[in-house]
Order: sequence, then C-alpha cells, then structure tokens
Amino acid sequence: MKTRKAFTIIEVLVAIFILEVGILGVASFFTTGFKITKTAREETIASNLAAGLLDEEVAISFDNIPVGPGTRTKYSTDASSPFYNYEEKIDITYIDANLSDSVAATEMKKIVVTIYWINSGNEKSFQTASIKARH
Amino acid sequence: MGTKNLFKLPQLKRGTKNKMNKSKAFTLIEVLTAMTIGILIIMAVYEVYNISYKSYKKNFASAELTQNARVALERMSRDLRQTTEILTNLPEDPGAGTPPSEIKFQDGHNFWPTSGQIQYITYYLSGTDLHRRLSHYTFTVPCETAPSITWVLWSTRDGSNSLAPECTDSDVVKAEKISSLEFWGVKVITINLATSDETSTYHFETKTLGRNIQ
Repeated sequence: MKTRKAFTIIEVLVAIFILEVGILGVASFFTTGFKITKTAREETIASNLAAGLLDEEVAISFDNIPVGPGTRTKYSTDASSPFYNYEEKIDITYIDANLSDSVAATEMKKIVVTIYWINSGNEKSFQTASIKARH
Repeated sequence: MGTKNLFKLPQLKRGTKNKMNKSKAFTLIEVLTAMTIGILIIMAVYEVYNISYKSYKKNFASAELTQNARVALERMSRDLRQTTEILTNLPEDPGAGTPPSEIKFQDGHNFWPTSGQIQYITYYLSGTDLHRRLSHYTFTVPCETAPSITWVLWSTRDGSNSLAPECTDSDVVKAEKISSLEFWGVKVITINLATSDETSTYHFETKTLGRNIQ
C-alpha cells in the first residue's frame, strides 16, 4: 500500500485515453445526426424529382412511351442548377396480366424511374414506378 | 466479530502514531487539484451539452425546411393533378418567360359539372408563407354569402356581358419559410421552390400532370 500513493503515468494515460474515446464517441453522434438529416433531405428532393419524371412519362400517350432500358443522364445539365448532382434513369417494359415483364408487346407498360445521387462519397438511389395501360 | 465491539464508540485516533492515520485530512494541494479536475470535468460536460443542444437546433431547423418544402409540394401537386383549368398564364419553360410565383386554377376535387361546386384555388406567397386561397365567382349579391348553387365559372358573363365578381371563401397558410416559388409548363406543371432560414437554402422541384386539363 505504501508504494502506491499516486497514479502511475500509465494509469493516467489510460484514463485520459478512455475519456478521449468517450468524448469522440459522443462527438460522432452529432456528425451522424447531421448526415441523417442531410440524407433525409436528399431523399425528399430525389422522391419529388422522381415523381415529377414519372408524371411526365404518364402524360405521354400509351403508344408514344418508348419501351426499353433507359440511360443514366443528368437531371439538369446546367452546372448551376441545384439538381446538377442528381441523375435520372427511366426504364420502360411491357408487362403482362400478372404484372411480370413481357418481351412481347402487351396493353400495359411499366415505367420505372430511378434517381441517383452521391451522398458523402456513396451513391444513393430512389426508385418509383407506375403502370400505364392502353385505354 | 464479538458483541463487545458492536457497542464500541468509534474513535478518531487523533495524534496517535498509527501509520494508517497519517493523512487525516486533505492537504490544500489535494483540494485544489480535486477542484480543478472537478471544474474541468463540469466544463467538459457542459460543452458536450452545449454542442448537443446546438446540433439539435440545427438539425431541427434543417428538417423543418425539408418538411415545409415536402408539405408545400405535396399539397400543390395533389390539387394541380385534379384541376380542369389553370387560369394563370404559365411559360412553357423558364427560358420562354418569367415563371409566376403564384398559380390559380379550378378545384378539380369537386369535379364540375358532375358534382359539387365551382371553386378556384390560388397558391401564392405572402412573405415566406405559402397561402392556399379558395374562392368563387357569382352574380348573386352579396357575393360572400351567395349559396354554392349560384357559383359560376370565372369566364361566365351576365346579360350585360360582364364577368362575375370573385370572393374569397378561405385563405389558409399551408407552409412556411418558402423563399421562392415558380410554376411553368403546359399540362405537366413544374413546381420549383426553395425553403430557407437564416443559415441555409434548399431547393426542391417536382412535376405534376394535370390529368383533367382539356
């Protein structure tokens, strides 16, 4: 007992290290929180863009909706647009009565709109779909 | 433990030479050190609290801007989707003319002439508040209290070839913090808006097909 009147340097360092890890751990909550809020906002933006593109396709008369896989293009080619970082892809397939994809032409077309964007280094996407029938 | 010891009064062996009781009190240095460490820990904890409160406020404000934009877009596209006629002149795209920041159209949910009444919806900005105004046209006087059966299309003309006066039925704020609002397009209407507070501005856009527009 007599020899241990004070903390050793190792003990102090370990204590500081543990405290540090705790503080940094708590700090990461905040960055995670900000990231989640940002992701939520971007998903809201993406879902609205996707819904808009979907309505644009639905507006076309049945025969004029081009069937086939889409290509990824920028939502806006204007670099100053707030949506410059969003990309769109519109895939259109014929579907049969069971709603499964059909190679042969049918009376229904499935329109799938996908929006892609980069969120802190990772690609995210949002997808929405609708069916247009001949009438 | 013997029963004897249970009733033994505790005694501070002050001044004895017992080695265990060498430090009976804290020294001044110890107290100061302990206080300093204590204060540092309290300050650190307060700082953590402060940062978490600030980040909560920031996240809340940011989420509020997103929510307002989402609600505004949802409300407007829901109404526009059903409308039969848009009264506001919209350019085909922003390059073809300045897009208006308000839009007036016939309420398509009370689908005329099948049922209901002829009513008009106007979305407009007052400051940064998005208003939704419901109005009707009638030749009956007074306009405000005229029964809905007397409401007519905005383009209806009376015997003397004049249009009916318009009255407001309700005017409600649907969203706040909208810093800009634009409409353009024919049949497929683009709604472009931005929400902002003191620190940030966020942009949103959607398109709506006015499926009942002839």
